[in-house]
Amino acid sequence: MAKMHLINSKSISIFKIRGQVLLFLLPAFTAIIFVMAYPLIKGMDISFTNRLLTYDKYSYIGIQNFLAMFSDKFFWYSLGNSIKLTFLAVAGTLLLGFGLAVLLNHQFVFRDIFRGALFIPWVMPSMVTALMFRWLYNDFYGYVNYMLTKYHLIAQPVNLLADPQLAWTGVLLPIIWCNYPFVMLVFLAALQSIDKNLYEAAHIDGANRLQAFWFITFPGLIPAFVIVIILEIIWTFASFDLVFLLTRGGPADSTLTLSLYIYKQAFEAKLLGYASALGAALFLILFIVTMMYFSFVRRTGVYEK
Amino acid sequence: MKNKSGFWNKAIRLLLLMIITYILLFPMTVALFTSLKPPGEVITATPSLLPHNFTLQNYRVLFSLREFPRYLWNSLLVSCYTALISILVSSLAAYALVWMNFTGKRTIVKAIFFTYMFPQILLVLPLFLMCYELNLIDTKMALVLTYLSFSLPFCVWMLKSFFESIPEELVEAAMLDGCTYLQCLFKVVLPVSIPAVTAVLVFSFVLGWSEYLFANTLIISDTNRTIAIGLQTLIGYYRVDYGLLTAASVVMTLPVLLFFVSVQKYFIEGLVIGSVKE
Repeated sequence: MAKMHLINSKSISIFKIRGQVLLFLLPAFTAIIFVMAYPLIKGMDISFTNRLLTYDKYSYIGIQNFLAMFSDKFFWYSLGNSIKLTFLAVAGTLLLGFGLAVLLNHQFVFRDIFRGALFIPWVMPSMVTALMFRWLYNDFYGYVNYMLTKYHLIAQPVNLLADPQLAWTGVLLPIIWCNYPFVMLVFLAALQSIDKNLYEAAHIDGANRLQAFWFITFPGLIPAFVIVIILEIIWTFASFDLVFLLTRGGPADSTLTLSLYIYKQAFEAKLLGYASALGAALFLILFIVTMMYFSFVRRTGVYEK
Repeated sequence: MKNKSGFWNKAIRLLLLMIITYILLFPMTVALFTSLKPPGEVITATPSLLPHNFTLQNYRVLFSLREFPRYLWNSLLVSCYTALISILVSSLAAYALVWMNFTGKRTIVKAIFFTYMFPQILLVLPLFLMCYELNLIDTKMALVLTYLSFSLPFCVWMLKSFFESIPEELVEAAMLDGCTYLQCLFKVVLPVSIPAVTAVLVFSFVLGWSEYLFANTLIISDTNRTIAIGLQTLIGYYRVDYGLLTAASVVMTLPVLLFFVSVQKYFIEGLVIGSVKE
C-alpha cells in the first residue's frame, strides 16, 4: 500500500498515532473478541467437559469426548455425508456458474439485466428458498411432480424429500441454486480481466477458437478456479440452513451432515460438551482448507496489486 | 457471410440465456403466482402457472393474523440495529486499515478474512451459552450482538476495498489542512464513498433480515420471533397453507430484492473484489 508516507508527516507525533489507531480499531476489536474469539475459545474449552445444555453443573473429562467421537459411527457417517454433499454441490455450482459466466462474457444489450436477474438466488433468504422448493416438490400439488407425470417421465408422483435416495437430489438442487451466482460473478470478472490483445495475437498466429480457449482463457482462469473452489468448499461443508430446513437430516438420517449432527447433539440430545468436540473436528477441517487458500493466494500473488 | 454467422451466434446465445434464466427464476415465479391464487387453485393436481383469478386474499389473511406484523417489526428492529452498529464500527476499522500505518496490520487483515469465512454452526453453541449466562436468551439484543459476528468481518472487508480506491491526494490534502483522522473520516472519506456505505448498510441489513440459525436457537417466545422463524411458525399453525406461506415469503423477500436492485452495482463489485484479493 502506497499510503504509508502520510503517517510520516512531522506534525503528528508517534504516540498520537498509536492512540488514534487504538481508538479506530478498538470497537471492532472488542466486538470481534466478544462475539468470535472468546466464544471460539469457550467452545474449545467446553469440548473437554461433559457439559449439558442449560444445566450448570459439569466437570472436565479430558479427551473422553474426542475418544468417543472416533468410535461414534454417526460421526464418520455424517462426515462422509458432508464430504459427499460438498463434492456434488461444489461440482454442480462450478459447472452452472462457469457456464453462465461464459454466456455472459459478451457484449450485448441486456447483459446487465441478465446478470442482475441471475444473481437474485444468492440474496434469497434460506427460509424462503427452502419453502419455495418444498412447494415445487410437493407430491400432490407441486409443479415438479405435475410436469414429470404429465410428460410420463414417472408413473406416480414422488415425494422427493421423503425418499432416502431422492432426498439427495432434493437437497442439492436448492444448494446449487443459491450458490452458483457468486461463482458466476467471480468467473465473469476473471474472464473480463483477460487481455483481449492475446486473442488477437493468437488469431493472427493462426490459432483456432478451441486452441485460444485452451492456451489463453484456461490458464487465465486457474487462479479464479482455485479460489472459488476453496471458498465454496468452506461455505458448503459447514452449511446448515438449507439441509436442515428441507430434510432435517432425514429421511432415516440419509442426509445427516456433520453440521446437522452437531446441531442435533447440542440442541436435541442436549450434549453440549460432545457437540463442541464435534465442532472442534469441523473447525480443524475448515482450518486446513483455509490455510490452503492463504498459501495459494500468497504463492501466486495474482490478485495483489 | 461472416456477419450472418455472428448474428446467429448472438441469437443462439441470447435464446440459451433466456431459457436458463427462465428455469433458474422459475421457483420464484411459481411462489409469486401461488401467493396470488385463491385457495381452490393452490390445492389442485393440475396447477397452472398463472392464476385464473388474481386475488390478494392471501395477503389480507396474512396481515390480519396478529403475529405476522409483529414478526416483521422484530426483524426490522434487529436488522436496523445490526446494520447501524456494523457500519459505525467497520468504517472506523476500515479507515485505520487503509490510511494508518502500524505494526501487525497484515496480521489483522488476515484475521478479518479468517473470521469472514467462519461458519455459524461453530459459533452457535458457545454463543448460546454466553447469552444464557448473560441472561440474553430470548431477547432481540442477543440477535443484534451475535449478528455482528458475521456482518462485521464482511463490512470491514468490503469498506476496506472501497476505501483503497479513493485517491490518496484527497485524504492527504485534508490531513495537511489540519484535519484529525476522525474529521477526515467523517468529512472526506465517508461522503465520497456514500454508494459503498449504502451497499454495506444494505448488506448487513439483509443478513440480519434473512438469518435463520441464530434466530431459531436464541429466541424462544413468539413475541420475539423474527420473520424467518415466523414463517416456520406459520407452517405449523396453519396446516401448510401454501397460498399463505408463499404470500409471507413474498413479503419477506420484497425488501431484500428492492435493496438489492438499488445497490446492485456496488454490491457486486465489492463482493468480487473482496473475495479474490488478499
